[in-house]
Amino acid sequence: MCDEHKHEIITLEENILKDNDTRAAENRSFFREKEILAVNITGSPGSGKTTFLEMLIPHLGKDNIAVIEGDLEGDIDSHRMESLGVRTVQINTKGACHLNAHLISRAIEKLDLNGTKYLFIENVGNLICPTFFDLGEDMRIIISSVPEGEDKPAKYPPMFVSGSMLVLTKIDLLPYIDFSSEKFRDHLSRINPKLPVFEVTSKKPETVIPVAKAIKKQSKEPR
Amino acid sequence: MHETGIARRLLSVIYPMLDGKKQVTRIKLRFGELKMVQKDLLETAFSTLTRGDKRFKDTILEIEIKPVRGKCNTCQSEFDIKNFEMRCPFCGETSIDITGGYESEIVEMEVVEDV
Repeated sequence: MCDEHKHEIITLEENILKDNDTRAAENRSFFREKEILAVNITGSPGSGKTTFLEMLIPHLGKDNIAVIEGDLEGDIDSHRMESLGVRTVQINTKGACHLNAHLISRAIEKLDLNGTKYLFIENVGNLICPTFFDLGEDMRIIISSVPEGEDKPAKYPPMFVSGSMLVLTKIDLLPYIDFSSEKFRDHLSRINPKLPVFEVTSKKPETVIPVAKAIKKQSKEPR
Repeated sequence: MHETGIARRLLSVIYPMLDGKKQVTRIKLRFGELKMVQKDLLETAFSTLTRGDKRFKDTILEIEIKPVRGKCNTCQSEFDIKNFEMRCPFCGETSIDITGGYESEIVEMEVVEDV
């Protein structure tokens, strides 16, 4: 220790994400109070998150749904939702690669949530950072598309560990792509054995019906 | 690149505690493996955000990574989960609760103060 300087060790033992986690807990109790099932939808850019929502909406009823769209820039996705008559708020993160609990609480203030049973939060397309930030959601649906490859669960385990449901999209492309469903499921069963997997394609919109049923069932579970 | 967000939050915890302190020489942090924090990216983000601020001129970031922890719902054993393999090493069952690996904590910091 230098003679003229005084060293001091300050013990903190504090959660760096306390701000986010506190706000997420507030969001969660708000959703519970309003009996809204909040669903965080994550996945790579282009995996089909918005298309999945478009397929899902008719089966849950547009008036029961509100959507928060998260993107770096623009309002393409919120327009897609509004054109279906769904209450929507667009968040532009201006470069941030994920949504956080504060952005969600501000978005909620802008939404009329009367009669809402399901709030879908479409996160920024990214397989890493959204894992890190609790938004206060009840469940996390991971969208993974066939063209991304069967190895994604093995390469990005925290995302797949954190999921409550996985939707494999674009399965109409299976005949044209070297994607082994068996290997994909092997990877998943190693890192998240309990994860329910659903296969969908926008070419056959009815493929989303089992997902809609599972979400409805989840909304009736005690939270 | 969530390291920038982490560095920003880290600084928001530290700033209010620097009253009268001259320099932060060391910050000890603890992250769970599931948080996927890269030390070099966090250092880059931290030094970028504190550029020109003399209090953080030579700050060393000490990072401890905590393994993912699991508890088997069948035999109740607790263990480190390696390579994200969600299987009990004692009984082989796959019904496991994750009990650790999500930490993101500032443990302590060392400051130097002019006497």
